[in-house]
Amino acid sequence: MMADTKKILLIVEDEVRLAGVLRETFESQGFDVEVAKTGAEAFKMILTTQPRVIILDIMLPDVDGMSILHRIRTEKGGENIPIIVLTNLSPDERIMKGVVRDEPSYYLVKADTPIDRIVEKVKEILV
Amino acid sequence: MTAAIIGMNTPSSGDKELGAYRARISEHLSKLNEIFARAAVGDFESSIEIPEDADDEIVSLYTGINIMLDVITRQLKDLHANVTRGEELNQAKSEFVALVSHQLRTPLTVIRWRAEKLQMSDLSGLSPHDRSGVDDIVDAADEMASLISIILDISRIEIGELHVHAQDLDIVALADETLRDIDLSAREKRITITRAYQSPRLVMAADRTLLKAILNNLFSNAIKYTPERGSVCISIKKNNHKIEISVADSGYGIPEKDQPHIFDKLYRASNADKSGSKGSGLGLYIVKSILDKSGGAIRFETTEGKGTTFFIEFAESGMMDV
Repeated sequence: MMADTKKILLIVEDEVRLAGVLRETFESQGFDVEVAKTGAEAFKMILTTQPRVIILDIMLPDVDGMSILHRIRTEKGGENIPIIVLTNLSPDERIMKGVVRDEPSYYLVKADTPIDRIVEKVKEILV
Repeated sequence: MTAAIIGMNTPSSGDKELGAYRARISEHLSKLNEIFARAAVGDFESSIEIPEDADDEIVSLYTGINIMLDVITRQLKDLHANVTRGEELNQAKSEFVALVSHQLRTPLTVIRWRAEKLQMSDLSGLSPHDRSGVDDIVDAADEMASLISIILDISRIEIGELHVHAQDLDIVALADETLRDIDLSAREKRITITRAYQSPRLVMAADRTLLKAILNNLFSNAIKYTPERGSVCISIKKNNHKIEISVADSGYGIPEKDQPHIFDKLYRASNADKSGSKGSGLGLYIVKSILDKSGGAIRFETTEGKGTTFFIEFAESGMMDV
């Protein structure tokens, strides 16, 4: 077994009920889950926890998720962390350009995606 | 008699009068000619200046024409204002619908994920009736999510916000992923799905979300409008610099009278209810709108009672923002 089997997942989500159900689901699948409710918290946690994957909402109380995505890519150590943009916003120009530009990133619509599909996606990314 | 007088070499006073009359008439005709030439190219805002010494019948003719031009100008302005207002209202409606739909998605996601988790948990303490109730909640949440997505897609098309963001992707893998999403409904109807892929991988410039919406609509329709134990075949190939994806089903087929309308908004074929499934009449409208916007084309072949095949085609270069 490799040393990095500890799978740290950072969930950036301000809606408590959604963050809760995501946390439970991933924890039951053996992930170490950290939840950030704001962009500021997210940045602190990225530095301290070095997550393997980030699940990122767009509409956050302080910073827009798409600018967080872009900023992570410019930070040292953040260039290659896979990020799933998990939002209920439709894929507009800005979102899609950002997802394409700031790879490796993925876009999923919360309401359209079964929760086990999100787990599957994270596992696919980590293979 | 008149002609003979005009043609004479030495004009009498009557000739002079007639000559002056002809000159005046010719002048009026050229004025009329000018005003109608302008009207013919859509300029109704000019008017004819009425000479002070004009005869009564000329004054009356010119006044009539000027009033007519004025009325046309005013009516055109009103019409234009109404059209603009209509467009503004439609835009506002689409924006409102988009906003409300987005707001609905968050509580719906809570319901969906919680119900799914419940469905995956140990339900042995529940009666079979209650267990199937949990399944109903998951199904209904999924259905509502699809409806909201359809409403949002339509709003984006109508607001003119649909843009194509193409990047190289394996469309065979995307087709497989889409098939996984609808696998359950195919299994419930015991429909056999065949994959006829020319090669195990085919990379094309495509907008992942939009192409997935196209495939999802076509695959779901094929399952929906095919009776139990029928078959659906998905084919993907590249020939003569074209990429073709086809979806063939052994379903009910589209009646001849419905064929010209199947891509119309809210249109449902007259035999659509046979399938026993609900449809919005929006799926193929969305598919066609996306293809129009991304440089793709769609056609179909159908025989009532035997089945339908939809063919979508892209140039080798793939999808692009048209």
